[in-house]
Amino acid sequence: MRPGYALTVESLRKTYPGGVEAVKGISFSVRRGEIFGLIGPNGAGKTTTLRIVATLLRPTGGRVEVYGMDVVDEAMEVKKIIAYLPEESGAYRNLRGEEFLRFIARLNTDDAREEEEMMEYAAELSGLGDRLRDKVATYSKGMTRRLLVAATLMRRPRLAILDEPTSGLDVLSASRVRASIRRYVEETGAAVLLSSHNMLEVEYLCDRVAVIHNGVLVAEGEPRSLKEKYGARNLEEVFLKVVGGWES
Amino acid sequence: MGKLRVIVWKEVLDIVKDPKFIVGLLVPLFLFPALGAVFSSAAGGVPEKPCIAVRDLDGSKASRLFVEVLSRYASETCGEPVARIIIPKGFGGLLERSGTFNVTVYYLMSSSGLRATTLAASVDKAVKKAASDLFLEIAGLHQRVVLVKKTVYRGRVLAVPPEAFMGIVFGLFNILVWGVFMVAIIAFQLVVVSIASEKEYKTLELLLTQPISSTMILAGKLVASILIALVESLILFVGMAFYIQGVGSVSASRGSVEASAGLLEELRRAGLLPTAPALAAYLALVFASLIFLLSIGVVIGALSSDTKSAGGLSGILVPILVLPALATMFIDVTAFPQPLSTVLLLIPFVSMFAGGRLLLLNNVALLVVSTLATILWAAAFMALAARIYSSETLLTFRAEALKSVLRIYGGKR
Repeated sequence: MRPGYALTVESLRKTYPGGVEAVKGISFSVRRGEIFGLIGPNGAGKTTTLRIVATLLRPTGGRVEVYGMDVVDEAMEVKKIIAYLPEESGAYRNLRGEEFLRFIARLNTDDAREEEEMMEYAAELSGLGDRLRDKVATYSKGMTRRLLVAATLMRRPRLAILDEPTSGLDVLSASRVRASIRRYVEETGAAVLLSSHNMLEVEYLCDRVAVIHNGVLVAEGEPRSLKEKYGARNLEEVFLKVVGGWES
Repeated sequence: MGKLRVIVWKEVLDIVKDPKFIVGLLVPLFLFPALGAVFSSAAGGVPEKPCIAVRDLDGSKASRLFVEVLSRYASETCGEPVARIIIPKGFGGLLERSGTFNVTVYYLMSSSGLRATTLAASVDKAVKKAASDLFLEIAGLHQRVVLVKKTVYRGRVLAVPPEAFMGIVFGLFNILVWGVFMVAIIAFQLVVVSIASEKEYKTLELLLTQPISSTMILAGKLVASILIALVESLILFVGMAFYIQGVGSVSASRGSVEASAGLLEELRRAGLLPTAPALAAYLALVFASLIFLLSIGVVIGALSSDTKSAGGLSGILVPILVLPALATMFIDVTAFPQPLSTVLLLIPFVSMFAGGRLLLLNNVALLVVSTLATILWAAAFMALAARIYSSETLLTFRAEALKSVLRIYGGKR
């Protein structure tokens, strides 16, 4: 493990049983207290990479370590310090918002006081107020996403893996979620690995960014240095130049 | 155990808070008693002796005797008759010459409902009994003949008629097994839906990344499903008890309760009531069968992308499992030659159904063999289920081949 790093990914490969090679030997690292953005077009290998880091998929080759622990050999230990928010995620529809949060809290602690702290923190993060007493089935897509972000961060993970955290949210909700993520990192010093199609969001949130395309990392660096390198006004232009250039 | 309790709590809450589930749960409480009440009122009110009007056109000694013996089973001094019997001229002569006679019975049906059918049946019964008595009277056998029926079952003599014995076999043991089967099927459906809905509502990945083993998640789902299935079955039984009470009030004859008690005593005397070891072995067999079915449910749920496809797969697999077992309700596989019987008793579910009869025979040895075989089956499938549930197959499996089967099975699905 490289000291000071929350996550190290080395020569990661993933080939699915059908023969599809989703990730072709990528390497990158995420420092402690850093928000690292993984961006790329659909099917580039972002979600596969995040799922491997989250211990859900086994890599075909290479190595992934979270705070020095191997995600395959020490999966249970890794699970204790990470939290994963999938892109397409839902909550149990028949449970009330607070029941859902309590379920997640109880899975993560046996201590009643700690459980209550988690609940208070989650209520604050979600900003759902009294609506937490309503069934999840009555929530809008944005409310459900806010609940899920709260359920992910309430555990105070040392590495939060967020796949499209503001997917499907309106401007106001997305802004609140971004603020929650930024505040969370500042307060806890945890690391965040996130993927997003929203380049403005990535530019606003991320300390460093990697562009993945066809399972290969084609660019990596701080948003400002990437803009300078590619002579772009914003990250979207960087993305278009990198991905477009790669395709041509 | 703490985490298991958390998973069970969530599963139970998620299931019981589903309005569809609550409605489904409460329906038997209203439906079955209502059906029983309808049946009872439709068929009820049948007198012990049907009201039959007799017109004797013959007036012979024999015809008068027939009217007399008929009065033992039917009443003439009543309100509206339900049948009219005409004794034709020549009744006595024909009886004297050929030992036969004929009467014409007009069934006076005021409706085409269940009560009319029951009344007609009671008239039939009265006429047949009267005819039988008439022949005995003519033959000078004034004392009633008592037919003593005894049953010999597998070398054990029972002072009860075979129909009463079979009533116990079907009534007690099959109902017992059906009760267990009902729990198993309900729990199976709950497990399948619980796992498939994790995929459908996109909660699976969130759950699998919590600091808890997938085996624990699986165990929580199984325990919750069994608990809910027990409650659901209990409610179903309460509903059915009301139904049976309604139907039973029509069909039960006087003294049937006493007769049942006597029969049970007779079974106990003949050693045909289960002993504690046999019951324990059978309970183990039932539990192993339940786990076997639930493990199949986990496999189906894990290989399905949503609850709809899970339902389709269950629709194919459950009949394959259950139909051979159902056959054992009507075929006593324990009476087959020993090797064949033993092989059949190694098949899960067949053994659970047939086990009811082994219980009757107190065949602990064969029950233990069946139980061990089912435990092996259950362990193998549970290992497969746990393997699927803890691997990335759960997330990446695309049931294209299974979907093709479903398309064929379900037409345009």
